[in-house]
Amino acid sequence: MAELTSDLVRRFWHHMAARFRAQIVPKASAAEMQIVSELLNRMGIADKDDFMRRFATTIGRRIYLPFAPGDVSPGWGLLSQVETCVHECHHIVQYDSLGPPMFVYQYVVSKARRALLEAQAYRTNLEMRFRLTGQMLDPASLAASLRSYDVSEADVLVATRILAAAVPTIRAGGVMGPACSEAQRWLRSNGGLR
Amino acid sequence: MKSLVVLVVAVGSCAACDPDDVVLGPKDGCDVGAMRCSGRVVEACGSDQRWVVAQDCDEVQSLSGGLWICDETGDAGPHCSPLDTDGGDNG
Repeated sequence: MAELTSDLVRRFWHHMAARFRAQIVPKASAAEMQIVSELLNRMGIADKDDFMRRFATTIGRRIYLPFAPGDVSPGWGLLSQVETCVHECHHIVQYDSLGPPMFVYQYVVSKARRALLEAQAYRTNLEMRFRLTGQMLDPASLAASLRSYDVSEADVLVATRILAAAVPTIRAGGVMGPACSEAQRWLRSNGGLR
Repeated sequence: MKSLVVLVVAVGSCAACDPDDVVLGPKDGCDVGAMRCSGRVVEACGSDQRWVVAQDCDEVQSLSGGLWICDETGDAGPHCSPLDTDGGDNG
């Protein structure tokens, strides 16, 4: 279904960043990410190296990436890079929709809302994987990813239900937000999605 | 900036209570993990016992084409579903 190439993924990121007014920043060289990773490490929330290598991070409109778009690296294949792009752009949609103060409050202070915001963003992973490969990810496995975000088991349960509820909607052709919509429109018109 | 100041004042002036009550509103007391249809919206009960929007069928409809409703049938629980079989392809 998907015909992803390095050049296509590079152009995809460029397009999505322009569309959602995002700035792509290499995570490894960002001083603020070094500070955040150190803080998370000391608070026991996330391992410093894991945070820097395994996670893309969006703050406001800045997307910090542990890979260069289009360049395949360990843990970051082209499909994963496309899914990550849509996931992070969805966070920007949330940021715009809620407004910066409410987004920051919900993401930083309230674990329940952080889990919701991440569940909604992971729902784009569910949809993009299905559109690109025909494979439906397991909602429970995807929701388990939230354990890296310092949320409770109750939050993981809620996220599992939200993701499971999205499965029939996605199978029926439902589009889960503006980032998914824009991604599919661009990929279709550029040969990345039939 | 103005909304940030309002938020900080609102939270700060209620030091004795849960800031979530000030910012997010009072708890609904729902069962954590429960799902329901509320009009054209799928709601989930979060771990803080507040209902939150899990899926907005109006948004799904606007992005997908066709007519979409909140559907409580099926094993997945409440979800947005096309009203007719062509719902996802009408756009």
